Amino acid sequence: MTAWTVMLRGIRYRAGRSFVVFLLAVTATTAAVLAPAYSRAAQQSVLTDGLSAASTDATGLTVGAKGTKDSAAFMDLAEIRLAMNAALGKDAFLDERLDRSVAAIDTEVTYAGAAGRLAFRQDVCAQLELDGACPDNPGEVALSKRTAAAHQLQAGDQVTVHLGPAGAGRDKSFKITGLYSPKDADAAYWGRTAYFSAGTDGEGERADALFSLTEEDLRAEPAATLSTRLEYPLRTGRIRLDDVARLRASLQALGARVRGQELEVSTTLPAVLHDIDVEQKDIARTAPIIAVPLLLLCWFVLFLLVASLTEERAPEIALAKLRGYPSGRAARFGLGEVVLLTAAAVPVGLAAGLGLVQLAASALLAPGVGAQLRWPVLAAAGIAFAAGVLAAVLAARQTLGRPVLGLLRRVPERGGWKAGVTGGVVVALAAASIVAAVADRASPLALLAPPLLALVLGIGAARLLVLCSGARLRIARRRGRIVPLLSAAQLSRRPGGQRLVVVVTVAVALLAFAATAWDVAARARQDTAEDALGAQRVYTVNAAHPDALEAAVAKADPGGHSMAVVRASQRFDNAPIELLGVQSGRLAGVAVWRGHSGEQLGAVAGRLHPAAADPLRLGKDLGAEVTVDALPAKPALRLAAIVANPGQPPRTVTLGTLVKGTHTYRATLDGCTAECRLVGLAVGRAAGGTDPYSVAVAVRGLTTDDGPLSPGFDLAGRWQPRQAAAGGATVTVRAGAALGIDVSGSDPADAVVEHVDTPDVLPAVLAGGAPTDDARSASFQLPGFSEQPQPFAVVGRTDSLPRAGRRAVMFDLDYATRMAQRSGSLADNANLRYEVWAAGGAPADLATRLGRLGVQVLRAESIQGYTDQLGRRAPALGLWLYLLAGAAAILLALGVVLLSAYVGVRARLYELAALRVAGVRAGQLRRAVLREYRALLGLPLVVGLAAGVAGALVMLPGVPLVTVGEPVGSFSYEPSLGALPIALGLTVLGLLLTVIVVLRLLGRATPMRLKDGAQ
Amino acid sequence: MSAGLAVMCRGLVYIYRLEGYDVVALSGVDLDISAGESVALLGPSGSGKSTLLSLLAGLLPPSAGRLTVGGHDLVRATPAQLQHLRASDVGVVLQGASRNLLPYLTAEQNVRFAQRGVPAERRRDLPDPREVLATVGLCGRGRNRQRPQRLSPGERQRLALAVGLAGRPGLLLADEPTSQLDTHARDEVLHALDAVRRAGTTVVVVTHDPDVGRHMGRTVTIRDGRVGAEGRRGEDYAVVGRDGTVHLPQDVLRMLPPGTLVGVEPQPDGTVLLVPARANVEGVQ
Repeated sequence: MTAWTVMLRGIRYRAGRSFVVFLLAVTATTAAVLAPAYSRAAQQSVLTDGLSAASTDATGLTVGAKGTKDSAAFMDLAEIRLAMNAALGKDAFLDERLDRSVAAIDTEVTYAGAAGRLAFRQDVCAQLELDGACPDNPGEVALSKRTAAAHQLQAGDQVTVHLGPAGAGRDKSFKITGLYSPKDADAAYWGRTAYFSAGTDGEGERADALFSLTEEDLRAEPAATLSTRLEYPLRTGRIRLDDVARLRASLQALGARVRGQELEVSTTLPAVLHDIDVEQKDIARTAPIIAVPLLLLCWFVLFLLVASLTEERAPEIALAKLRGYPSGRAARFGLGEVVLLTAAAVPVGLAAGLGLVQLAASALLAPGVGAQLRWPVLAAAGIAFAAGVLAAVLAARQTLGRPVLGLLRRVPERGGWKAGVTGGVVVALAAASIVAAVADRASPLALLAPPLLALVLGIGAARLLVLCSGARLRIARRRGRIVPLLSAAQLSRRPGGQRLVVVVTVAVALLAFAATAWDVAARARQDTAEDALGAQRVYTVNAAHPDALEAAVAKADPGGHSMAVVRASQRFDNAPIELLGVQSGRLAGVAVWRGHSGEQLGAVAGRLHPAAADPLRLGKDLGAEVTVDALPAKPALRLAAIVANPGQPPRTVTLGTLVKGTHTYRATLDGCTAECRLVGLAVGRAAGGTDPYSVAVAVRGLTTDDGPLSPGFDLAGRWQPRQAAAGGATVTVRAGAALGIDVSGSDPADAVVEHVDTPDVLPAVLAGGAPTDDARSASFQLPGFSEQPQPFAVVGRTDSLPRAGRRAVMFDLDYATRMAQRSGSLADNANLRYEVWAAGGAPADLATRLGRLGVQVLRAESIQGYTDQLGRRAPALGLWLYLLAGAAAILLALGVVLLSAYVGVRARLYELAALRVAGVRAGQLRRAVLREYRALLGLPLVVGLAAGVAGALVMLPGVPLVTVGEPVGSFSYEPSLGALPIALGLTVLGLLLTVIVVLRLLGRATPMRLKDGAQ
Repeated sequence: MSAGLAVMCRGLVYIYRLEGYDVVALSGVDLDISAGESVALLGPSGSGKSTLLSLLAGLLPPSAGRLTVGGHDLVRATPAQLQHLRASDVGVVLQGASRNLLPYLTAEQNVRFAQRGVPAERRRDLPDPREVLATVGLCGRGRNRQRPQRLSPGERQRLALAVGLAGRPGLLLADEPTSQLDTHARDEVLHALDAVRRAGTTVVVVTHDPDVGRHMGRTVTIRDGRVGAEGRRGEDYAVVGRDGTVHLPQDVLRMLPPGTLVGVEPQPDGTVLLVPARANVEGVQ
């Protein structure tokens, strides 16, 4: 018989508690492994997600040169590829992580009166929808359909392209073999080059690129500046955490290798990796907040475990000493079973930890991310085992040091002054850590604040329970009530009960901390998503102008669950200000604005859209009945109308030359189909000149399409003279049955009287200070949708506007559009960004419907999708660790509850059996046990919950909840009902099941137990 | 078995130091036990029998007096020497058979477990566990492979004796080895103890049972922490202490209650006559 035999037989003999010990040790190892394994997986997930989220051109690298004939830019692409192949041949690591390259050359040219690019791009025809042939031969190009349409070009035509700088270079004629539109302009294939940028920018008109498949055509002009390059996309799926440092080094080395050939490597990958680094460091920084207390709890549990088991085995150890075992061998005999079980638990705990992380990774992390068995994980398991053995030695030291007769004594020794000192140290540490947490939540001592707070409260609760039980015992004894007496006697005299209270309190506190943190973060993510989007779904679209978008939205969603939104950016005091034009009438039903109910949104919308006259919509013609009593001899005067056609600049339509008397002046409005708006009437010179004149006209009525308009001539202020430049004509307007317009002056420009169909100043809700010298000013001016300064009146202030942020202006889209269209065309304004916001009730196929109506949907976002994205960012991934750790802590606590029942169960059964013999009924015993456990577990449940929530509220302001680098105090830290009630419910269920097991265990107390040897 | 060990106690005192007060358990025990002798310690509960046994086993250090077991001076022995003593020379059987046994080991394994305390160089000289079990009558019918709870109470007690004898001690100390046993089982245990004594081992047994005492050949009655009486071969004797004190038997004490004045008169035939003073007799009348 060997020592192993004794150990294994002992383990089998105590199968129930050995299993609990094993489970506890497994849980402790799992908990220890969890932090490094999960952190690693989460960091990998952040890397994978970060690389995937970054555009291909941001993560890829470009190798090439830019310059004229004398530079490497005029090298053949084959030569560059050869050089690169040679360089990558020396760096298999980088070579394996780069995808197939795309060769490209392009140069700035001018053609058809616009600036553009002449581009060679490998396999370009596969990426284009071509009407015609691919330009495979020298002297051939493909032209974009929209450029062709704008300049009346078609396949087969010749286009003259100026190569090289303006004033130098040369013209070269190309044959257009086909007209293209890109299959997907945003596809990764196109890299970082803006090939499709037709429109007007600050430097004039631009056209889309011309594509050629002949390199030499681009090198035809030595003075032209070529950009010649190979573009390598990164295979982001192959990048693991360990690769990052080497990837950076490889990029540097590659740059050095190809520099000899005058080639340059350019990439923004290091910047992307830097951003990812920041997120990864956040995970590493926040993990200890939960990992440290969890490990301490594990250690404490192991300590209790060994102390309890060694105490229980004291009579066996006494036998060993009685038979003359030396101290060392007696210690090995006493500790062998626990150490063996702890050692056996290491691989199982390791596997369980990795399995758990793998499960979490499959459910939560980026695709392809899993648990990895690496040295930090093995070290954590090893440390857990070493800490377990140390805990075992420390816990068993007192028992093993006792003499034989001391070990045989059944009454355990009292803790004495040492327990008091330990409690004092814990309280002092807790106070120090809470002070540290308030001062600096990132300090190492602050990390211990939540668990220490829980520990202090747990110790306090345990002592309170003993005191209260002592008092209850006295009362029950006086009254002779057997059930309270038995339970109070157990609670007040059983030392293990106090430790149980402490462990359960700390475990519940950890879970409550984690669940509270999760709930607060979930709410913060939801708030962030709502702030960032502004509606359940947001489509970024391409529209011709605001009116076109509004019309398309009205048709696509007749139910009114979506609205058109137009955005623009302006700057004031070198800081950006976001302008947000919304359809006020739909704002309440569509927008999601944190802290605003539907009624409040309706009130805001009402303030944004005060009553104003309806616009005067024009049909195919316009007629004006005008009376002129007196006319100057010179100059000849005319009556004109200012007509705004959506998408076009307002135009002046001459209604006729004024003649004395009452006449109807009429003009046909080309291009108007009931969408044109009458901006105003104008009186001016029929043939130019600067002669002074004075005239009074009375406009009696306006008609369109043979029907009268409602011009509101009788309403004061409905018609107002447009502000003229200094020295302009004097214009007076008189309301009445007929609109009186008196004009005098020598201004060559027309005198304009505008129909006022908007407020004088645009009502706006302002986030941040007003963009003027006085930030608290109630009015300000800022270029709105037009380039002219737009007067705004502040009708509301807020901390932040949905989708626009903390420095933004929100106003009514309709009014803003009408105001802007008085002076120019919004279709020409490249600064406008168009969106459609949709509520939950909007058609699911809204994007398709918009597409059918000519509104191209560029991007679709949703609050749910955005929330999901935020759920994969570092802070959320870190908080999952908190939840896992909290669950592990509860499992530990349940294990300890079970273990405390198993340890000493024989003695307890003996006592209970004796009570049965003494006449106490089985039901009374069961109720007493139930009452005992209700107090033992109920009190720590409540105290732990309070400690966890309080700890979370102390620590969370220092923990990033949504994104790394968010300012402290960005969110509300009020706990919400989410994970916390679920966690609490599961904990209560677990405790109830444990109590049921304990009741079954103690239900075996029969008088037969009293026979010799049964205890 | 090894040769029996002699025991010598002189003025042996033991005081339990409790919180706030002391209890004198032994107040000057003088006792000599010859090697190979078989002795039963008798006395009322709390008289100090078990304390004396613990002192003999080296489990408690004497507060005063002299105590030797074989050649070992237990007053001066270090903890290591005491541990060595228990491993090699003194076998102890605790009260309650189960307290001496590991419930998850078989009878043979329990004996082997006890033998593992013996220093390695002496272990090879130890008898096979089955021999030890045979000494106490536990052989045959697979008894050696049974766990303690499968044995009868008498067998369990004999197994406890076997465990105490596992290291071939010169002195076997057994505390109440026959308590809670029926007559048959008690006789089996006594038979086993007899076999141990015959093998040359000194046996000291604490018991309340006078029959057991008679069976052991010599009885020592401990009363109030001292040796009150001794019995040899069925005859009881008062013991004259080193200070000349004599503990009178109970029946004599009824005649001469404490405080009685007696005249001590040696007689020519070698006996001593105790004559109560007249005043006492009158007082009694």
